[in-house]
Amino acid sequence: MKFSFDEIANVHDELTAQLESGEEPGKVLKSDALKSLYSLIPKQADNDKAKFGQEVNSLKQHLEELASSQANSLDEQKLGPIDITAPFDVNSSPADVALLPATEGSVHPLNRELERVMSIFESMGFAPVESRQLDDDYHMFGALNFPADHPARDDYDTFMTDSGLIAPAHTSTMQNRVLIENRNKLAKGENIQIVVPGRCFRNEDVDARHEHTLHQVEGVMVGRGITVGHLIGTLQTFLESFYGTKLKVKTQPAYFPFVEPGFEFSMSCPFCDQKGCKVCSHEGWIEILGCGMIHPNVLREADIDAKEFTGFAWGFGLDRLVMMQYNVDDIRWFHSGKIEFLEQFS
Amino acid sequence: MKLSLKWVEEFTTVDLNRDELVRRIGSQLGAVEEVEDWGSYYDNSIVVAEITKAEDHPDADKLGVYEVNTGDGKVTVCAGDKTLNEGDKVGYIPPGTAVPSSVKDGEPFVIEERELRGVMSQGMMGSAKELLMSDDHEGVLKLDTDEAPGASLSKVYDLDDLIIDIENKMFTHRPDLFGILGLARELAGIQGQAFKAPEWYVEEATLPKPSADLPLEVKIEVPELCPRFTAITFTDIEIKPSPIKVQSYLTRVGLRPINNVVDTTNFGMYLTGQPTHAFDYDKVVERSKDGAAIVVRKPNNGETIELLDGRKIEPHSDAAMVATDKELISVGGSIGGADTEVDIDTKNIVLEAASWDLYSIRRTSFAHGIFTDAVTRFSKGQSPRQAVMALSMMSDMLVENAGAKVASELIDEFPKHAKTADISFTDKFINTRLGSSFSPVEIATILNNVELSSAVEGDTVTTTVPFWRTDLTIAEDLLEEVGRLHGYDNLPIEVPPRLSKPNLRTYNLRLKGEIREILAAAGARDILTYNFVSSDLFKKAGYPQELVDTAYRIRNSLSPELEYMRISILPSIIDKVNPNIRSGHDTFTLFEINKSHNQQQLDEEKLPVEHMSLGLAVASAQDQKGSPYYQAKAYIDHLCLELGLSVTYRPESDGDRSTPLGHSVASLFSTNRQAAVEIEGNFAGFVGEFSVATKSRFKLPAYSAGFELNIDHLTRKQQDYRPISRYPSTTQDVTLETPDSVDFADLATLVSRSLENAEYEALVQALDIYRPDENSPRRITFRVIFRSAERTLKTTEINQAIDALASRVGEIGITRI
Repeated sequence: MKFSFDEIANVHDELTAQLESGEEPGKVLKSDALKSLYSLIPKQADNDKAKFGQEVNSLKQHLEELASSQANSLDEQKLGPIDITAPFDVNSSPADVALLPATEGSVHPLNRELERVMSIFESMGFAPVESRQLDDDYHMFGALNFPADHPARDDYDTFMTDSGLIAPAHTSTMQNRVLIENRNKLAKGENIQIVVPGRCFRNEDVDARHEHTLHQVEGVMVGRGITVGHLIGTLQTFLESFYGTKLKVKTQPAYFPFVEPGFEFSMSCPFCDQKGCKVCSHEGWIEILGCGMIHPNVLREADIDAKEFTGFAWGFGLDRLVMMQYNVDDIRWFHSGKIEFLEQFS
Repeated sequence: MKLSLKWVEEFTTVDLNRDELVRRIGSQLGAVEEVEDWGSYYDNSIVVAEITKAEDHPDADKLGVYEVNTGDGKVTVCAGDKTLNEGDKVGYIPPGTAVPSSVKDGEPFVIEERELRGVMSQGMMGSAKELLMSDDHEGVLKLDTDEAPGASLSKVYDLDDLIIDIENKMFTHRPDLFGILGLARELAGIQGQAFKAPEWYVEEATLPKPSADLPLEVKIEVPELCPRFTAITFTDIEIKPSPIKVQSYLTRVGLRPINNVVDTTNFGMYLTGQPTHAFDYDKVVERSKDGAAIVVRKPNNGETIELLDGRKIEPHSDAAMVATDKELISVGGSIGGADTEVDIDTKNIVLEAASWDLYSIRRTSFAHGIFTDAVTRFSKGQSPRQAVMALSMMSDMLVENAGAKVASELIDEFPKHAKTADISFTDKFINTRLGSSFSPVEIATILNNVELSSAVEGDTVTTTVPFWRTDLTIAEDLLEEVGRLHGYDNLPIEVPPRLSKPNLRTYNLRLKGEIREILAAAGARDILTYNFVSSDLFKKAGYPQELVDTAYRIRNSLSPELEYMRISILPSIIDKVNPNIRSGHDTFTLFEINKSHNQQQLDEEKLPVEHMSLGLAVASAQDQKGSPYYQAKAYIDHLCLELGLSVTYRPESDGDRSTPLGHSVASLFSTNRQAAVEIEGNFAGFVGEFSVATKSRFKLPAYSAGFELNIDHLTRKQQDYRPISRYPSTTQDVTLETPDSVDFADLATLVSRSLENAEYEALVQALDIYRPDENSPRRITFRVIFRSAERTLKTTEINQAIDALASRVGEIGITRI
């Protein structure tokens, strides 16, 4: 610490030494030497007063921190060594390290539902692969047919690191990788069928409906003769299986640079059978995901012949799916770590 | 983009009822944000009326008293406007009818007969604002209609309109749909009708011959930013309000009528999608060296410009600027300059229709916070080939509405004229992707309906890209048109064919699910916490600066709370302990499986290695026996047992603290009470009781401990079935007084090894660890279960085994008690 006044510097040196030599912290903090500095404040020249006061305060703060860390390390020394290989401590018994009963445990609702989502997709022939949480511009945008400065980038408010990496705003950041990793299947007459669950990040203010940290499930299918009808059929089958009921579905055109054509996909409300309820805002329909036929540039970027093979991709938000499923009123509960929330999903 | 149905209907027939229209737009054009029933604002009783007598109010200076013919007889109306004359037409709102603007605002104000200083006023004559024609509230609106009194105002001005707001996002790739004409074309196509654009909508549009001479020079110095600049000059302009119909259309779609010249540019833009700009010609001359000279260029160092919105900016060095040969006069394609603004005294103008590079427009927009309707359109890539069409259409409007005379030939700088290539594809291309069965002729018809001129030869369709489309380059783009105009929801829907071959999740995904189930069954709660953490959290976790420096910093974080990507997950988990204790939970276990990042460990893609960690914290606010270290360790033991994995605990110095992950976890623990965890012989992480400092900074209870393990390489092992013996087992306890130099694990191994025998198996469990007083050695009691698959064991052989054990351990100073 640097002080511009000798009086303060001297007290600093003296009291620091006292603390370090093991003097009782309470005594040091209440010492006359420190108190006397306060009484010196009014005696300073007018333009020095404020500065002198500030320095005395920061000295006091410094001493308090030092005292508390000294106290911590004293307490720390009192914690003697233990036998780290033992199953329980000396003078205790196996009962003292018994694990908590299953009633005190739970799997996070997002993870629980994700397991279900993955199982359904596995049964439909889609292998789940996990997404990255920090990626580069190429995978987030470039490989997905977003040229630099393209206005479509405006729809993705991404977080960026100082070094220019991106916390991905969608799980499509994995598309190029899964296409490359699986393209040899195409030559064997097999399809590429992958789902990519993962964390995504959106640079937007948090409220009951918006989170900066979200979970998405991306899906990709590429093969010979894969059509828009297959895309709609696949998603309808998944949703019907997830909700355990027959659903109507509809699309509306949408623009995403990595698909052509692109759609927003809606399902009839599974909670009210289109009679109108809170979940579907009495519309009878719920817009659930974005999807489309993979743009030939995206296939080409993965060295897949876009004349021979076609494919589709989709991405949906897991958080919203689970919120609707359980009537969760506030998205912020998911990352709250609150037992009151979690224990409802035991 | 707001679609006015009435405006659209000037160009195409719409034969759908309201709900069906909205549904079809949603499913075949783009998401509908809002539908506004404009007609509902006007009651049928609001009519055109004529002033038949105008008098001053006998008792109020500011009021006029008018006799008004409403078509249904004459009434007396007082108004705060004394400028009306006999013969003026007005919009009359009778008593009992609500004012349209108040209906729109959701608070209907119903007109009543009332006495104004002794004169009975029977109704109201609306201002432009009250009649929703513009936001002008100065006086009564004089109507520009020849209709007789009594005609419905709504009919006369086609006000029974539907305003359908479609999300702009949907049209990111469709510059032409930022114009009413483009929307009309699509609506025709959706209905299966052939659209026919108006005659003036042609690439080589003709302009009226000049009847005056206001010369203008134009030079493009940056053709990469401005591919085309067209202009024409006008004289004899009379600035006044636009016809009410023009004002009403602008108001309906959310634009503000200003005067006939500005309204013409806005109307033209909204109709064609092409933004234009009008400069005051004389102001351009004043700012030119000699005559009127326009140069499109980048700004010089230090040059500034005052914008129409009143701001003064120093444009960024790559901005496309419109200048005279002396100074800047507008930001190209974005916003005009204040110095050349058209004002009430303007007589001569330059009307410009140019084309701008969309990327440059977007950069300039973001650099200077300019978000105008022109930016919205140009940043989608408006076609340079539509500029003359737009000028021609607007010229006609200026001649008609402003008395303008054309004062120059068309000035057209188009240095890089590039025609688009035709696109050919087969019916098979379309059908294999849509799952449809269109013939080539059917495909061509769908495309021709929206003026995508398409010819069929054999199985091949060849489409000529029209001058207004910039988004059509590949066959997939036409696939989109065909599918959408036909309706995707009308296509056959089926599940794709598949091989009967399992396609399973990756091992790591499966393992994570299994670990969650195992831990939840052991009373632990799976939580999720953010990747983003604060420098304050790093401080609480006691990270030295060099460790903080390995974390990725988010340069546009939402708040300091979310500034860094975490290096390890355990600090985020223990940050959730205290809030739960405060809300009354005293004993619990929290865990998370998630990723952490640091700048030191990169993979072959030069991206941070994403370590998959399992972090867990145990906490109890109640008195518990022993160090909490053992409780945390018990979770690892349990997990490894369930996964069939061997685990050993080594001094923390054996662990790897050289990685940011290892360093950041180990520093949370008490030095004396932590261990390096080895699973199947590989270092996996650290477990420990939290240090006093960690406990105090995170406000953890004294009984709190945790671990973080890298689970990337864990592979579940199968444990073989152990045959069940038909013979009873024998249990024997043995207590060994053990010096502290021998740790528990070594002793347990020694005991098991000593009891190994071909005749039977001996299962060893720790039962008790007791230290009578601080200076005595520990007494460790094991329970041994002897079992044979062949026979019942004899007491003597068990006693012998225990004796042998005692003498074996005796060799290293351990005494049986």
